[in-house]
Amino acid sequence: MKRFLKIVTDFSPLLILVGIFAFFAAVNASYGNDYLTMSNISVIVNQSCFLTIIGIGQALVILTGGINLSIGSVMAFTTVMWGRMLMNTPGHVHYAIPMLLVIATGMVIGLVNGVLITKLKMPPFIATFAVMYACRGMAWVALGKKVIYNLSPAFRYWGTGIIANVNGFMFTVPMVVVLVLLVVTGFMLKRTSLGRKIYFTGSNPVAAKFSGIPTDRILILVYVLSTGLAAFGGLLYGARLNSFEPGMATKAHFEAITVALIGGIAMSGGFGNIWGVLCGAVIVSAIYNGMNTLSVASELQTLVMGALIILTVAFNQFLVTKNMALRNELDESKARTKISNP
Amino acid sequence: MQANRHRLRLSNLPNSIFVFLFVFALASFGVPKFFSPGNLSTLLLQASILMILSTGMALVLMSGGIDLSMGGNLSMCGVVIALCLRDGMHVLWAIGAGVLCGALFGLLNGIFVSKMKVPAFIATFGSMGIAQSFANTLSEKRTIHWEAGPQNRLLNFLGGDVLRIEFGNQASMVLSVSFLVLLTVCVLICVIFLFKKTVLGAYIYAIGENEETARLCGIDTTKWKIFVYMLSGALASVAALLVLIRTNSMQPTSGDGLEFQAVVAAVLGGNSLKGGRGNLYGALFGALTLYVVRSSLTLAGIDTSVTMIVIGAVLVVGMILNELAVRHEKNLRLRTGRG
Repeated sequence: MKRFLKIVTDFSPLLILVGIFAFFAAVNASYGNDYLTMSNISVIVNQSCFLTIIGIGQALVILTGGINLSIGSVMAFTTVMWGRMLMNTPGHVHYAIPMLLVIATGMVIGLVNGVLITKLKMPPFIATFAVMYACRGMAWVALGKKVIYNLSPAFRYWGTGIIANVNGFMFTVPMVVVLVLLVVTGFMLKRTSLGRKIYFTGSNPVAAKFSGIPTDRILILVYVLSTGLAAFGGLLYGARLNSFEPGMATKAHFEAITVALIGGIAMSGGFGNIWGVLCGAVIVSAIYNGMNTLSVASELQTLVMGALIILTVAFNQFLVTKNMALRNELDESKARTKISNP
Repeated sequence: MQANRHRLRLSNLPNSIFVFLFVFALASFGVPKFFSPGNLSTLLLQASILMILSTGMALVLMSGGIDLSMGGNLSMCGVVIALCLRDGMHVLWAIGAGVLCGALFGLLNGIFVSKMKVPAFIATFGSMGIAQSFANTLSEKRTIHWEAGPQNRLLNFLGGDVLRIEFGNQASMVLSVSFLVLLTVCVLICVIFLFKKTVLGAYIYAIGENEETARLCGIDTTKWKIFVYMLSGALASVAALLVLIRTNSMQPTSGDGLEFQAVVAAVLGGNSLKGGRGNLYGALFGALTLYVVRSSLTLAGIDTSVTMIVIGAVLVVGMILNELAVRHEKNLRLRTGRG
């Protein structure tokens, strides 16, 4: 029974996801809309791809007990800085070069974040907040009140390309990209020593430091990865919208935090599963999609979203606490049986 | 010994005072029109809104939480007050309704954080959305105006000047202290009195430092945390009153983004986000510093986007100075302890 409960609480984001889908399907059905069609689900999953990418970046940082507020501004600044090279002009450079430049710039900003936090001992909230302000300002300085649009089709394929169409469910390029990212990050977190170190640094930084883990280096690496992922997310975002502008994604850092927390990553650090982020992202985009099909007014959408964030995180917190307790009990009983019959 | 005590006292001052004085001096010498009576009085009036907000934020930060709903709360309370005024209610009732609304919203935050155990960051972020939504729905996304009448004569009185000295003919040469500044000072004195002279301050420090220990020491942490959030909500509503009187109307979006400025001001003033450390004066000077930077850059004709970069840089430098001050104090304490 306890083992069953543990497995159930392990999949807490999935439970919420099923609940949300059931709720919106029921409400939409009563208004005569089809919600659970293949094409609508593929739209929801496709929208959640971008959220998943920045969510992974945020989740990595939250796992170490920090927070990254600079995500949205980095998305704007890096893409605005190199975006002109991605425009559909005759004789343009190969689109891979500006893409790599964008990600590299993002990583450099991540390095700044990491150094501010570890070497100058600033709290992550403030350090990334300062970087967020500075990046947003630099984005405005770099482009002014203009918009970069008409991007090259080869680049836009990354954000909009369709690979296969199964019964109306579109498999798009972003889905594949996100899947690869999730597999790689999941492997890194679960199967390599680096991942263990990240979890350990998050759950107890002092103990981690004293057991010989270079916590400063781990933190810097995590911020570099997180901010690099943000820049990459900005690329996909721009590719879908077909434009880059300095004012884009002003709420992305909040969205990323929401996604990570709904996905079951603990705010205190050191606990959570990266696949939960995918669930969190699908939950958020399912809610937005459901409210749009019901044509809820935008000011009411913020109300629903705010209330849902609080309720889901409270519910998740409850499940996660339960899960931790159950896991401890199971470990204990396992150890006891090991002692009694060696 | 005498010298030592003096040095200790100097480092006990919130070092945002030094940052403030430095920035102020730089602005006064560097920007020609900055140090004029007119500009300084505008600066004080503008900063007083943020000063109230950052005081509330500092209280919450010291208790180990954060209140991101302050901006949304400000918009919501302002809209409530403005709607009451539009419907011809007496101004005192309107203000009372606004403050009650803010405090009740704070109560809601407190319940989310302490009863439902949602992390403060995410709970108040969610309630920020709720408050913004209330503000937009109640006002139907429009600016609210009201007619002047005998029942709201108090507003004109509060909007007037308490002190007016003319150094010259131009508007920039008139030093005027508004009643709003006086109101701000009164509110701040009340909060500081509450913090210093009652158990509130000690309890906040204790809860922020280690909540579990505080609970085991017999402090009703749930109750006090809820009270702190209520206080910050009420302060947000007072700030809403200021915004409303200054602009003589109320926009449902006027509070957006102010919560972050309040966090920045409080943190510049030496309040740690981990709780248990910090002071209220620091938050006040942090708010003043932000406005001095903004006002001087605007007067110098620098673009707002550059201003954002500069504020980011000021934040980093201020934090480094804070860290240095803390280290210096620690060294000093070690040395005096040994001697």
